Amino acid sequence: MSDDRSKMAATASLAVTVSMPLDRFELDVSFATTHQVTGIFGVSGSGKTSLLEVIAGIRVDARGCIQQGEQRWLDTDAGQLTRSEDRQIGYVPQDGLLFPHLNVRRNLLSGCARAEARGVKVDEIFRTVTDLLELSPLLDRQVEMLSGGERQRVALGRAICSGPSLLLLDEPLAALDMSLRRRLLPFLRRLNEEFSIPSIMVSHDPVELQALCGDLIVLRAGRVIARGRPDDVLTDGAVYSVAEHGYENVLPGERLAGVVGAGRLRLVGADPPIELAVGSSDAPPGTRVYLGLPARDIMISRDRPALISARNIIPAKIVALRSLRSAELVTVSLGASTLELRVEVTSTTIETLDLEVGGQVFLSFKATSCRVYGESDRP
Amino acid sequence: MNVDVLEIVELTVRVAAVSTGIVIVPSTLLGYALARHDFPGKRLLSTMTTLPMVLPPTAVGFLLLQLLASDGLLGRKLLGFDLALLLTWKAAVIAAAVMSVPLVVRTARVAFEGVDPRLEWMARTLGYSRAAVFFRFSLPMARRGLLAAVILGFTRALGEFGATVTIAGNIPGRTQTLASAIFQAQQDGDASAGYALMAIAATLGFVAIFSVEYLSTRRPARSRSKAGVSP
Amino acid sequence: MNELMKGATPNRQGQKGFRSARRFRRRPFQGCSAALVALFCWVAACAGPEPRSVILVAAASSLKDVVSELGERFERRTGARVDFNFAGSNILAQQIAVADAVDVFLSADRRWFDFLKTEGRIIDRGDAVFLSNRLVVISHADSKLTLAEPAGLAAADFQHLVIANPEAVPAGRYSKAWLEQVAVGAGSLWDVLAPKVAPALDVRAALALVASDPAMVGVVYASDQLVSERTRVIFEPAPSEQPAIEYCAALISRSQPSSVALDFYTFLMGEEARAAFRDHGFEVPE
Repeated sequence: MSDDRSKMAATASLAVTVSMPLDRFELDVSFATTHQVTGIFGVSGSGKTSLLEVIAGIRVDARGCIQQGEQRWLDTDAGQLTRSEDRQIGYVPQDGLLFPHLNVRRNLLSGCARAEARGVKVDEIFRTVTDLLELSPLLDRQVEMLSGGERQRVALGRAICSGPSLLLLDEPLAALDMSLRRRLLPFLRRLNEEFSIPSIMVSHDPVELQALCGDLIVLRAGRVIARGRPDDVLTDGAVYSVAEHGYENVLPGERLAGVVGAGRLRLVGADPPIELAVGSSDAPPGTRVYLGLPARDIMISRDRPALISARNIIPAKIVALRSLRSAELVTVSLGASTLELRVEVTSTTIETLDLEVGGQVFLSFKATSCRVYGESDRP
Repeated sequence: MNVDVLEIVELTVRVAAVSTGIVIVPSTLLGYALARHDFPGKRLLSTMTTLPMVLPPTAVGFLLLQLLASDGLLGRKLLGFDLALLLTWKAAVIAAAVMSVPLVVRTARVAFEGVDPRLEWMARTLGYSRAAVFFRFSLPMARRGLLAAVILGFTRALGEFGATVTIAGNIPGRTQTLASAIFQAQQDGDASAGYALMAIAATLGFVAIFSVEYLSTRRPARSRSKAGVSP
Repeated sequence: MNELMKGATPNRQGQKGFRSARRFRRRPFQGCSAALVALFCWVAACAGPEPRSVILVAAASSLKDVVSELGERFERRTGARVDFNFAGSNILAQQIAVADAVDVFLSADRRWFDFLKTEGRIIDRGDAVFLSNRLVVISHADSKLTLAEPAGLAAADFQHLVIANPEAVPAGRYSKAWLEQVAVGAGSLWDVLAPKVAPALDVRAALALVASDPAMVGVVYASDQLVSERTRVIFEPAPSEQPAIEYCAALISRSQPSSVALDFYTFLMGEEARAAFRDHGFEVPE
């Protein structure tokens, strides 16, 4: 199995330089990435879908160059254009695009011929995918009988079962309502961890991008305006107006056994270990989740607060200060790990508390401020 | 009543079946091309294939006769041998085929236009070549409309008269189809034969249209099971 | 791999198989193939050219009843098969001119016989005239119309005068010729009646129209009227007034001649046939 996995993960590099006229502007993009999951962020109409279609080979009117691993998919100067069916991609569009004349099982396996040709053992992948995406009860259903979330899971499964060397996810959860999206987040994470297929994920939801992507590209009107780690890029004033939306920290976590009415959560990768009080749920201990913590809901103090209603108090060290339009963003690191949080404060607070880089502080926030993503309400 | 009904029906069905058999594959491909692709001369091609539908059948018969006559483009003098089609059931097949092509192409085109082209692109990203996409995805997804095309083409062939009688004649036992037999019965004043043949024609037509209706409105999409349960 | 496609739910205990996607759509495809093979066999059985023991006789529509009957007798005696195509002689002649499918042609006038002779389609066997006929004026059986003389038609009460197409069909041409030589006032009966003339496809079509409507009057052959129960003769021109009606028989030259055609032709010229023609109201020259 690891052979197949490494085969699919082998060529993780993608270099794209394309330009193409669109309705209202010209798409003019150039980037290269070796990350496993690269995100593309932008508002509707910024060219994200067109870019993905060019990479997939669905649109063939772009000029430029696309190189994936050792394969050159597009080279306008050399007159080279690899056809879509030869590019070995898995494409997951917003609306799933399941084949209506096939049931779920056949949809999932519709790309298996290509997978077999690549030497991928389809039956094992099929089994793993149906387990991870919990598709077993749905296998014999007709497509028209699936709910939106079920459709998206099948679409994801189909893409993976086709043994691609690159996954293109075009806002895979956008067609679903918010709570559904939050619940599907762990499915995507599980797929990433299990298969490690290089992926390009387009989304306009910062929580998804922070949770899943190691690298983020921001598009506006067809051009790349920012590039970097998701939490850096998303707090860049040019990209994301903190004042309007409010920045939300997203960190991987794990449910712990809680008491009645109160839940506990462990931050993954924290050193020393950090446990937080969060809302309760019926999810069993060990469930992998994401913690969402709005920057505005965190309070900073120089000393450990004593009698305070917030149930979460953790020490941190200031690593950066950034000034935005009408607020200040303080970046802190937690312990010896690479985990970071951003806290939004007013400029007066910086002065009053005399906050500076390197300073030790305490963060306080309520259990109710913590949003937990990735748990279903199934028993 | 002095008509051999069984013979007439057998001939009619045979002519219509062969005609449909000849027409269905090229018309399906043409319908697909017209539905999906843009190419120079597309409108001209579309118009040419619709022409037999708007011309009077006798005009089409006249053209075919000129073509197949011994001094015509497909005649003995130019080809060097006799195709021996005129006044045979094969000529009836040709007439029926020519007259049914517009209907079959049009219906097939509509059937393919009803298939979301993005689904075909999805199949291509899964590794299928254009031809494989056509056979494994486009055809199955359009199968209801294509079946309707076959039925309509068959029915049109069953009822074809004007062009048939011009190039195949109205020879009992050889080229007298249901339509020409009804005409003959009317000319002969044979009312009982006329009614009998007309009843058969009406039955065939009814069954055909009913099938097409059934295919078009089968099985509305069932509602989603318990929305909101599983993500 | 083989079980997955068939629908077995994979589970952790069993190692289920999977069948290639290539066999996705097997069953409907097999059904279609079977249907096409059956169709092909059926067609192949019918597809050859007619064996030369089958002949095609093109005959003027007024000959329909008598020649069909003679054909049946011939078939019973010889075991050969005779197919008939009855229509106006004009249509038949034009079909014969462009196709090699007809063996014997029985025309209702010389004109179409001569046409084919010029085209080189006729095997010359001397004088071809073998039959004659008479014209009669008919009306619907329920009509009260009576006619003492042809000129009376000018004033008679009817809507249409139905004849075979006077331009090309022999019966129509004969009818027009006769009407033109009946004097009425300064002109002819044809001039007077022209506005009421309704041309029909052939003489039997004319007969059927008159038989369907009492407002019609028609001119057909005497032999035609005998066939119909719903018409009656209201006037028959005297023999001296009749046009010269000449039926011609022709053996058509084929790329593959048939002895059966010659046999049938000979049969039609024989005594038995002549008697049959007389019985059906035709005139047989000596």
